[in-house]
Amino acid sequence: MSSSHIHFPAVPPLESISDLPHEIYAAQQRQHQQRLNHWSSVMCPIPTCKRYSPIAADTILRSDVSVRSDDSNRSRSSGSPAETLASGVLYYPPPSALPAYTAEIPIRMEPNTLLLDITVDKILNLVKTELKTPFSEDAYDRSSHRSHAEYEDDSDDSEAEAGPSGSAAMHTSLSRDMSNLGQPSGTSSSHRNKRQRGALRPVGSPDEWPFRRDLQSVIECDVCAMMLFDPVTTPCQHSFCYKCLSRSLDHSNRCPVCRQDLPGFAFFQDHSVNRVLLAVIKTVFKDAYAERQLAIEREERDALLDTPIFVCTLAFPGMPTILHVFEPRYRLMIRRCIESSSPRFGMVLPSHGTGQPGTQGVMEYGTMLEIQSVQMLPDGRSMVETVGSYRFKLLEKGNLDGYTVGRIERIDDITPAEELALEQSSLASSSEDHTALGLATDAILDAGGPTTTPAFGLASSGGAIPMPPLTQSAIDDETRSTEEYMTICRSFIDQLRSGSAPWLLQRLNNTYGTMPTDPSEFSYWMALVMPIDEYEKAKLLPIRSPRLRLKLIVHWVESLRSSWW
Amino acid sequence: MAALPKRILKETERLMSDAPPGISAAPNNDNLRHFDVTVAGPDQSPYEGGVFKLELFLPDEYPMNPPKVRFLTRIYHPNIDKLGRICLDILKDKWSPALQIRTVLLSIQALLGAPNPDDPLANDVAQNWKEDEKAAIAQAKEWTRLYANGE
Ligand SMILES: [Zn+2]
Ligand SMILES: [Zn+2]
Ligand SMILES: [Zn+2]
Repeated sequence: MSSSHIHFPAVPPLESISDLPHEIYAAQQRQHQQRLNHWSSVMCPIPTCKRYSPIAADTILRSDVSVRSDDSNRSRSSGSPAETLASGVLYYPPPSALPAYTAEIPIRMEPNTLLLDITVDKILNLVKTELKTPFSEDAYDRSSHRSHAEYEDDSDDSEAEAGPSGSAAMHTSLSRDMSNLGQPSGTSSSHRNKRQRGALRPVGSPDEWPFRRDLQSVIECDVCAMMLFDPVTTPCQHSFCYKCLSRSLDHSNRCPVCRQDLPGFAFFQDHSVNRVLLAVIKTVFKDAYAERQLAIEREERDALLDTPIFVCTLAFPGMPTILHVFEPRYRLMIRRCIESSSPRFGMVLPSHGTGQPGTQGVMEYGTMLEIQSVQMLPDGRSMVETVGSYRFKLLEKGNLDGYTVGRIERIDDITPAEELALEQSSLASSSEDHTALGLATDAILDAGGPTTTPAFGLASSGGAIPMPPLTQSAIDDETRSTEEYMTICRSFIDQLRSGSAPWLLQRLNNTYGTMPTDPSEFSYWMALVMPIDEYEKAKLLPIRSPRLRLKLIVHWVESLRSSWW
Repeated sequence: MAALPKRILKETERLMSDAPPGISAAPNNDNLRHFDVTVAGPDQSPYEGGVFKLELFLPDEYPMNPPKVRFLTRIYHPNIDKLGRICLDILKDKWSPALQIRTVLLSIQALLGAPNPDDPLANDVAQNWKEDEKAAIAQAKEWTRLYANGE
């Protein structure tokens, strides 16, 4: 069965298009407008397709071919509950406006149903050409006298390229595609070229047969320039690798080839692969297809050797972060994450004062976020729920398809025993001993991180309060226990609660959850609810002792107190 | 860190072995996403006989995002400004991942053959073009002789 199962009303073909680009675009614009009006009624007669409508089945196909609804994992009904992906991520498919279906419905086909699928159509034309080729001895003779070089020449001239004064190849191919839309059976010049060539009989190994080579170029994806893999076919009847089309949809809702408006991400997520094309490819290029599959798997594995890095906001271990993913590059990143066995990515802040996305610098320290759930929106955006797991230092960074990837080093807190020893020595030491303590503090900061006397008072962003420099007395004050630091923080929160500081209530009501009791988790929770600059808070990331983190937080608390009361 | 996508390798190979007439494009040795390009002025255009140097860069998201292209040779053209930036829709919102380096360069060559002063980037040039096309064409020819002589 053909995958050209979407029925959309015919649009009158456009006539007399010159090769000038702007005229082509203007014509496309008109056609695009015409098509827009038709999308609302696009229906699919195949019961396993989400766009299925019994009316479509009734009006397009009237015969006794029955279609099994066998790919249950692909067909989801609208509003279906979350499913758990192999990666463990809870996945909420995009909501769909169309009703669910379950029934097996007999579908009948007209004997002469016109095929619209452009790739299948091209293949059919190749076959027709091959069939028309005379099997005379004459033909054999001619071919045996022709060299391979002549074949090469022939195969390339189908791709019309204009000289400096004429139209460009792109225009030719665009108008060719448009003529194909109007006349699906394909009478364009490229086909005539191929017919002439068909008069030659194949020589040499099957790999060099013109038919095979023509077929190879027909089944090439226009996005990745490789053999179609998991081919999906758009309503405008162009075929692409499923992954290539998904990526293209991240960037634009138009078909890469003909630029017609495509239905959104949700539509294609439930659209099955073009089985006809897949069968043809797997039959003729069995080994090449298997190789392609291996190459893709290898690529996906390689992509995961480096940690994907989301440059966006401040996150801490144990704390939830919810992200609205709309940038094309991050859509791709999230898809790759949830398809992998390790659905996580690193979150870092952009470095101060860098603008342009893509060229922007990033902070050195960040937090690994584990993806808990993904709610897809119909247009391909998503809401991603994550929770922080561990901190890291970015050792090296690169770029993969537009987003940052990096080699990271995990940062863990010092052991509880070390933490206890640190607290005891702090409490035991007298105030004149603070030089030694300063050194101890250095050792507990991650190497290369901020020193014990970081410059406070950063530019504040969005209502955050700038911090005054950490005073000498604050550094020296080592006589408090870790529990006392926590008590100071708690009483600060209580004080604010009783005064109902609106920012606090809002923050607490947000997603940070109840106040943790563990000093480490408490330090991150406390930092998140405080109304200070994110870059100030980010200074907690390299500190490997909860006690020292709390000490810094108490400094913030005291600074706020002194400026408020 | 990331390997060059197969598609870029394929496009490069084909550009090197089978360049369109009047166009050459070769990647830099130290950055395979950066191409040194020359485009010959089309016959019967004011740029006939000139050889124009351009630079072309493939961003990380290519082919999802268009290549960045700029004229290095000075050119008197209503759709190319003095920084060499090109006003061409397929390099902006009309980009599609099915287009290629090859098609981009052919379109630029076609743009040399068909200046469009109604959609200008270089306003002064476009104005001259509209007010006195003959003089503008003479100026374009002069600049071609002066700057695009392949040196
Ligand atoms: Zn369908
Ligand atoms: Zn592809
Ligand atoms: Zn299309």
